[in-house]
Amino acid sequence: MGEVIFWVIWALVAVSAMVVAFSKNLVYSVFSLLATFIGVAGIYIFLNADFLAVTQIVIYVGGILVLLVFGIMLTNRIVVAKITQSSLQRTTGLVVVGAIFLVLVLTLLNQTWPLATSAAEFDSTVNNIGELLFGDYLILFEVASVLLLGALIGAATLARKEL
Amino acid sequence: MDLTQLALSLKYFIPEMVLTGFIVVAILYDLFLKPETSHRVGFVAIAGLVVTLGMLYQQQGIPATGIFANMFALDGFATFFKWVVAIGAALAIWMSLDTKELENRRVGEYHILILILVLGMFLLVSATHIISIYLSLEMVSIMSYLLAGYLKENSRSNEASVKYVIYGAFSSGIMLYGLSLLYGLTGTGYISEIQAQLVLGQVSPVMLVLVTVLLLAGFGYKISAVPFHFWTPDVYEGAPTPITAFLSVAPKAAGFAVLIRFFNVALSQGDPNTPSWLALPGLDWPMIIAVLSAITMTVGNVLAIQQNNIKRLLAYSSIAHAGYMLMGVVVADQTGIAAILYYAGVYMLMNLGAFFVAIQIKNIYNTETIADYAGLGFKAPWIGIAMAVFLFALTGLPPTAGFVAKFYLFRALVQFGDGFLWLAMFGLLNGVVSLFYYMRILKAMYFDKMEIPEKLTAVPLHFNVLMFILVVPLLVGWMFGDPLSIWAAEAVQFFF
Amino acid sequence: MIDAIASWMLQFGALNWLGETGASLVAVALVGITLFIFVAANAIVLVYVERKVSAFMQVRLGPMRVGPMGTLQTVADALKLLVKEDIIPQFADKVLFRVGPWVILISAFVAFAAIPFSPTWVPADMSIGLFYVLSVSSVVVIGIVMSGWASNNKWSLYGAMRSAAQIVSYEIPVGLSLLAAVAVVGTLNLQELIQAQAGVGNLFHWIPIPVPNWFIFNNPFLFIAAFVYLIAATAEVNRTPFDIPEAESELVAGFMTEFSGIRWALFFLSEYANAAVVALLTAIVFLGGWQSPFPDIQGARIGMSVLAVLAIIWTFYVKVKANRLSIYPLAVTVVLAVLAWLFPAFAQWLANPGLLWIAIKGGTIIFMLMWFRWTFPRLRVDQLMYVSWKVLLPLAMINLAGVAIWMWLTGAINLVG
Repeated sequence: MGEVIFWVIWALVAVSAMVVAFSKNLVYSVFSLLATFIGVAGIYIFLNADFLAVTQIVIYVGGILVLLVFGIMLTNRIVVAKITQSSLQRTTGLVVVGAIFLVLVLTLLNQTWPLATSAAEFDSTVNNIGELLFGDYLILFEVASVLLLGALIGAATLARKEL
Repeated sequence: MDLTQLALSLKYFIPEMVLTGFIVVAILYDLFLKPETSHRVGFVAIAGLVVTLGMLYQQQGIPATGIFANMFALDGFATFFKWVVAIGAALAIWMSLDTKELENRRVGEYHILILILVLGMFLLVSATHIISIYLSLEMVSIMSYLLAGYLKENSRSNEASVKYVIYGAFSSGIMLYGLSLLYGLTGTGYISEIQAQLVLGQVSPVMLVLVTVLLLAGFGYKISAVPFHFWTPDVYEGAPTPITAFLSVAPKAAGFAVLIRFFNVALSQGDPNTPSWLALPGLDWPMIIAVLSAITMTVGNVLAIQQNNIKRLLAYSSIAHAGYMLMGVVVADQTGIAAILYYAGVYMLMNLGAFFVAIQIKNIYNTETIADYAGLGFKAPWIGIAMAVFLFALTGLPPTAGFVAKFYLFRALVQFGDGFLWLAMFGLLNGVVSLFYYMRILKAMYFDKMEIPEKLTAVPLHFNVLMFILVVPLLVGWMFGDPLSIWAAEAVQFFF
Repeated sequence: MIDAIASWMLQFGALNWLGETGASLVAVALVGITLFIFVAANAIVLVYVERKVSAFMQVRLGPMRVGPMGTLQTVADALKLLVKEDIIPQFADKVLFRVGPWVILISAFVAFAAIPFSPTWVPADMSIGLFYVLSVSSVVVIGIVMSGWASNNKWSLYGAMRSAAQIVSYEIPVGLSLLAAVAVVGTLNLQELIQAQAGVGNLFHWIPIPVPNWFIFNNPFLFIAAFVYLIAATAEVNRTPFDIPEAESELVAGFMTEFSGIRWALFFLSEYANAAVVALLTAIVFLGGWQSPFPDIQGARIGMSVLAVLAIIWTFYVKVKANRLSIYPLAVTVVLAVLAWLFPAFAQWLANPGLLWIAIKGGTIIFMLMWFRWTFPRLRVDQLMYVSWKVLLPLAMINLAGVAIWMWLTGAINLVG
């Protein structure tokens, strides 16, 4: 059963990502991201990364996607403006992307990847993540807080009316 | 969880903690200020930087160590760049205090953002884990975007910020992809452990080349190397000039620091502190960087020729200088890195100086066009002489420290062997090209007919003091035993 | 839960042909259908209750015609909605208009998957249950914006944007206030959160009044957190007094304006499903979930007696102050207390943890939500943002620090590690 569900999720991610990329209507692209993000969360679950999966939904759906939606909907004169997207330089892009894709696929297949030692038994990752976040990675946690503080100050500065 | 180990690292982290403390103090102080007095935050910022420098001085002589579970390193290499960054920031804030561009607006946040930017660069130059590299790189980038767009009623400034964001987001995304591949290939985030894994030779060279190219997109964007340079002229033109000056030296130096640390530790064989040094087998990244360096300096210099705006000209010239500094990365041995360190220090002084003169001229004559500089050399002799010194230094002419800096770079390249002699020739030719456009400014200042109307505003005294501070080290700093080069040579030690 | 049902099904010879995969699929379907029936019934009952409660607060009768005391009114309403003509406005975005309501309903519905209804009855016992509930309820925003955008109506879009801003803002105090409770136990598993609240202890650790060990009584900061959570969660599910997105007086009906018939019914289903999730989550995290307030038979007897005494005092108070005799609370509590003393089995039943208690607690919270709705006036948009960013968020943050200090004071953690 697991395998069937995996392929269903895989198809969901692939199809919705294609809609994101190829849809002419920007609004459809954004809403299609919803399916992509949730599908990716599903793939995380298959990797036993439960915490990551839920974080993916909270941050990407609850945060990033809402931000994107805001960006589009708060655009001036949204009702009359035609929101479309198009691609330039299709041939060049296709060649470059195709080349990189080829290299990636070939090397991905030929490379021996180091694997985690024990993934057999399903065990919650929350505790480990918590301990790492407040242990080895504590300083990065703090650095991120300063970064966010700076971003907040900057955003408020740019957004306020006063010069 | 071993928190005591982490707590022990705190004593190696004092400069950063002091800086963070001053950031908080500046934020709180700003709350009590009216818009017209908000520039006082700048004094807090300068004080903070001075205290931080004092704390950095306290750290001299500590052997290279990893701190906070080896997320960051405290070594001579990082400390050198921290000095460059902090001094550059203090000078940039000093320049900001009286520039006309920032008049009649609230500037408290401006100084706070600069301080956070400095903190980001402190972390960036000492980052030894891919997550800490990425996080501090983003910290630097985001603060730079905000500062570039600080003149928010000015559409050029907006354009600068938006272009910066789009390029920055894209290239850091590409870099992140490279980092994730590298993590997948090696299973670790520490760059020294990545090296240990890569040396085993189980990773296919094609993959490694791909990873290197992806990473160069991120690092190259930070140091504005061709072909990741497109943002540079527009951002440098649109941003407030002190920010342009600062962005052209400090984040660039920090970008070089992380580039060197990453390539020298992760993508090489053996201990990076030993004099003999080799790139990973199968991955000839010195050649990639040599090509990048040649293209970068050529593109920067050739495009600089046709610029009429002083800020755009200096922007393109800063691209060219990134190319010169990349020559040192190609020979990432002791002499090469020492040459880059020396160059970064000198470049900080001379480029800040050139921008500083541009600020002064803008303040007095309200122009950024080179043709309008006609006759300035006689009208404002001190400014003219200072500009001449900065431009000589940027070109690499004696008797300035700029000459010595270039000399060290070329010497490193030549000593390395015949392999990269072509690059040295390229560099020399480019020097000639750059002579042309730098001298164009001097020609306008001294040989063109005076067109400037008779409305001179007085330059504040402390501005002249600052100019003096910038000129003197460039002229005499390299004499008397050249302490900077001794320090630079000593500073080439990595935590490994 | 799923595994238990599946293995139980396989014990019947007749169902063996399903195999393990089939059995677990059927079990998933069974649990899902049960939950969906629960959500639908929940909406029908709650709409009726809400109308009755509002009528009571406004001194009128409410629905009385259909069925005894109007109990079948909402069933009739639901039938009416189901058979109504399906209208999609001509210039609406047809696809998103159809999808939007479902996104909202699904995200409200899947939250029930992690809710423990009794010690054994939990659809999926996740180690990250609490975080999961929070995460899926954040998907609601997308559905709301989708519906508002697809309607091609400026009121709908305004409503949707307000709603998105509101939900995103209030997610933060919601998360932080729940985090206070998580910090005490150190788990995100809802079952473990409830198990940590078993037994009887002192009020606020030191005051010698015996109370159940629920977090709300255990720790003064969690007491505050419970209210922060309740307020913020009310706003997050867009209920009055935070129903700016559908403020009738300003926006017609916000993002629901263009919807009718079955699609509108979906909005209603999800609104009450959300209210139920909020109520259940409050009950679980702060009020001990399915834990009984009584530790044993004797405790149940004494507890019920105390309740009866309180009811007597209250009755006298009302009689003296308002000269009104309200006999029902008195009668109910006294009868229950007497029953508890007479029949040990009844007292035992009261002392057992289970569905009964989570239902009582959740019902009380839902009643409080309705009470809010029919007593408080609606906030203005700027007031709404003010409450979130300048009141609840700092409060929740200080509270989180307070929880840590409290845990240090009570010796639950020590700083020197």
